[in-house]
Parts: sequence; C-alpha cells; structure tokens
Amino acid sequence: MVSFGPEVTSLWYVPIIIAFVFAIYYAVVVMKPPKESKGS
Amino acid sequence: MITSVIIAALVYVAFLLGVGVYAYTKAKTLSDYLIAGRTLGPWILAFTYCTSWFSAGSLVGAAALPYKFGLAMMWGITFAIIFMLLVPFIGWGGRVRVMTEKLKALTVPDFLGKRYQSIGVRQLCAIVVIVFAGIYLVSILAAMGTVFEGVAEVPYSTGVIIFAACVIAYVSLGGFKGLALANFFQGCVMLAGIVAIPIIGLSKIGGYSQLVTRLGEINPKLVEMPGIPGWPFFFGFLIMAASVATWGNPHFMVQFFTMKDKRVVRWALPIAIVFSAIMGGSSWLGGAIGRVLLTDLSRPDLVIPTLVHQYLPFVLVVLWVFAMLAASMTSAGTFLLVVGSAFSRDIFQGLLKKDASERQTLIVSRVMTLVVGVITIALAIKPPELIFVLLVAAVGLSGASFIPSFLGGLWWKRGTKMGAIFSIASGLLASIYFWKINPSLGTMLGGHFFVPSVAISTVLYIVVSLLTEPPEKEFVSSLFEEFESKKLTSKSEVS
Repeated sequence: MVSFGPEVTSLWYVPIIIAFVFAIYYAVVVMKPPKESKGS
Repeated sequence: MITSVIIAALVYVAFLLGVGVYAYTKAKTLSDYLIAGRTLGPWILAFTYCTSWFSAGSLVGAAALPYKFGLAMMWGITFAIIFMLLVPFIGWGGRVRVMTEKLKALTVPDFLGKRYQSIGVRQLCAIVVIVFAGIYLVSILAAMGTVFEGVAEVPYSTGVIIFAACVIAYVSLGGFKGLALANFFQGCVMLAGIVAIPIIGLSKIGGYSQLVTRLGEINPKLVEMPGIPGWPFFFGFLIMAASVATWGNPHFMVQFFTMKDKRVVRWALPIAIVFSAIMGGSSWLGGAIGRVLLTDLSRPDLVIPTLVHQYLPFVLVVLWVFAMLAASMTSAGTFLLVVGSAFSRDIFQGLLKKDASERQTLIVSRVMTLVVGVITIALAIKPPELIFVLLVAAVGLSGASFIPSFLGGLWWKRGTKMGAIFSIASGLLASIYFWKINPSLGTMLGGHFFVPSVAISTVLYIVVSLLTEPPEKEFVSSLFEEFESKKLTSKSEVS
C-alpha cells in the first residue's frame, strides 16, 4: 500500500494557501465586474 | 473560577438574546425570518456559513481524530476547505441565488418542490431535513455538554439543558436575520478564543517541526499518510463523508439563498477560507498537540477541553468557553431554523393547512423550534461514544439524499420529479442500511456508508428521470433562461 512520510504529511497547509491564492485570483480576475459602457 | 466562567457565559448569552430581540423587531416578513430578506453581503455570508460549519462537535469532537490517528487527519481541514468552500462557492453559489429568487423559494424543501413542480418532493425533502437535523442537533448538544463537563465541571446533563434552552429562545426570537448578525459577532469571538491553543501548545513543545518529531517518536504511523486508519478511511471518511457530503446539507445550501446578489460569493470565498483555516487548523492541530502533551486521557474527545484546562491561563480559558458556546449556538441555531422552517413552511403550510397566513406560519415555526429543541435535549442526555462519528453520520445521510436532486435541479433540465423522489428516498434508505444495518458492506464499498449511498441515489435520479416524462419545456426554459443567455452572450463576444 502506498504511503507518505512526515515530509509530505506535515504539509497539509500548502493546498490551503494555494486555494486562498486561487480565490483571490477568482475574485479579482474572473469575477471582475464588467466595465460600464459610456453613452454616446 | 468556575462561578466566574458561568456568570460570564450567562452575560454573553444575555447579550445574544438582546440581538435576537433586536432582530425580532426588524423581521417583518417570512422572508426576513427565514432567509434574512436576501440581504447578506460577503462578510456576513462568509462568517455565518463558516460558523454554521464549526460547531463544538467539529472543533472539540473532531480533534479526537488527530489525537488518535495523527497528523494525516489534518488533511481533513485541507479537503474541507477545497470541497466545502471552494467548489460550492465557485460552482453553484450564484446559480442557487438566481434560481431560488426566480422560484420565490425560502427553504431547501421549498426550492426542490418548486423546481420539480411537486408537493411530494417538497414534503419528502422536509422529512429528510427533520431527520437529519435531529441527529445533527443531538451531536451538537452532546458536544456542548462535554465542553461544560471538561472545563466548568458542570454535570453533563445540566450543561446540555442550560445550553439548549438558550439556543431555543435565541433562535425563535431572531430568525435568520438575527442569526446572521449574531454569527458575525460570535465568529470574531470564536477566532479569538481558538488561536491560543496551537500558539501555547506549540510553544510548550518547541515548534511545529518538534511536534512532528515527537509524534513520530510516539508512533511512526502518527506522522504517515494515510497512517493508522488506512486509505479507505482517508478517502471514504475525510474526503467524501466529511467534505463532499456537505454539498447536500440544507444548512449550507440555504446560505446561498440569503445573498443580496449572486456576486457576493466573489469576496465571501477568500474570507471564508481564512476563517476556516484558522478555526479548523487551530482546533485540529490542538488534537495532535494533545497527543504529545497529554498521555492519560479517558476519552479522545476530551483532548481539547483538557488541554485548555491544563495549559491556558484563566482569561484564555474563559475566552475559549465563550468560543465553544458561540460555535455551538451558531450551528445549532442554523439547524433549529432549518428544521423549524421545514415543519412550518413545508409541512404545515403545504399539507396541514394550505391557507395558513404568513403570521400563522411564523408562529408555527417558532413553536416547532421549541418542540424540536425539547426532543433533542432528551436524546442528548445519554452521550454517544464518539461525537464526531454521529455528526458525520448525519452529514452523510443528508448528502446522499439531496446531492443528486439538488445539483441536478441546478444544472440538468431533464431531471424529473419522479427522479428526485426516487433519489431522495433511496439516498435516505441506503444510508440507513449501510450505516446501521450492514455497516461492513458500506465500508467495503467505499470506506464510508455515504459513498455507496450517494452512488445509488445518483444512478436512480438519472435512470428514473430518463424513464419518466420530461418536465414542462416552457417552465424549465424560463428557469434556465438567465444562464443560457449569459452563455450565448459570451459566445457572441468571442465570435
């Protein structure tokens, strides 16, 4: 059975940091409000 | 010291009751009472979502896992943040907000009933919500009794009764609007009360790397992944049952109903991730720290109360008790409201008295909150062996019942009311079978009863939907209109 040692097991917080960075990217880039077009 | 803790807790509860009274005067309509009038912004949504998640059960009871099984269990928090926050917020938070407003749905059974144009779906859904909420509430109250027993040395049953009475009074007064305001305030208290545990614990041990080394010295399996319980437990329990199953939990689903618009998820998500990482990380790490510092515990779920009692200074003990009180009140409060609304809006208004006025439904909702509270107190007096197992059983049961019809209702036009009925009923029955009647088969098929149960309910949802008459084309088209016009706009922009 595949198993991982302490050097991998102890890094549980790394994917959380990546998820947070992705959430900021999503908020700033993906969900950026559309620019309102100026009237002629 | 004990008297001071009790007096401080009573003052705290009195303040929250004041918030409940304030909200009572502001909640003018059933929509205000049940979904805060769809007015929540990102901060309040993030806090109320996360505080509903973190009960004393998931903070105190779940810390028994890293205590028993080691550091691999910390990945439970990692998976929870990905599957309980990232996926639902980005995947369907906004869509739920849009569709529930279009259908004028105020509760989860209300939404599913209207989406599938079926009173049967609505009432079946309401029954599952009531069963699910009952189990969940018992586990929350049991955890709260453990907290008082461990720290304030109040007898278990007294702690359960005092706490439950406070929650019932507070929720029946405030509704969701009061709950959301109180959850924000209580979320701040929870953060302040919980961070001291890993800070002081790690300083006693000598840092995080020392914790890893010391755990490995006790038993090398404590720092390996999957470690002592193995991959089936890791996949079936930590990933599927404790995280993915929450997609079908009414107390999370209903949170998206309350947003002021669909873009609220934009900033609510990073706020929720930070909050959850601090809350869950601190508490669960406390379990691992307890394995090094505490060697003679009678029960693993006493690890956090004992750690707090032995290592934290008095002021931080009081703050922690408040945090646990807050954690339990927010979760139990949300659940009481969910089950009260299932009885009042979906059973009473839909079945018992179809012409009930809004005022009558509000009164019934408050009365049902009281009745459910009393029943769960009676059940929680005799505590379960390991709190978190019971908690996750409820989460899995609800998840297996609702996930296919909920997500299918949001994305799949072809889903029918018979498909939804078969899916919800089979999810419930399969969960009970694999959980209680034949648990070894459930474990063999996926590590946890949720996995085979949700597979069965998903297959039945798809097969029965395809075998039955499609829903009215006009109704479904109007429901999906906004999402499809957005797709068309994007395509035309590209071309």
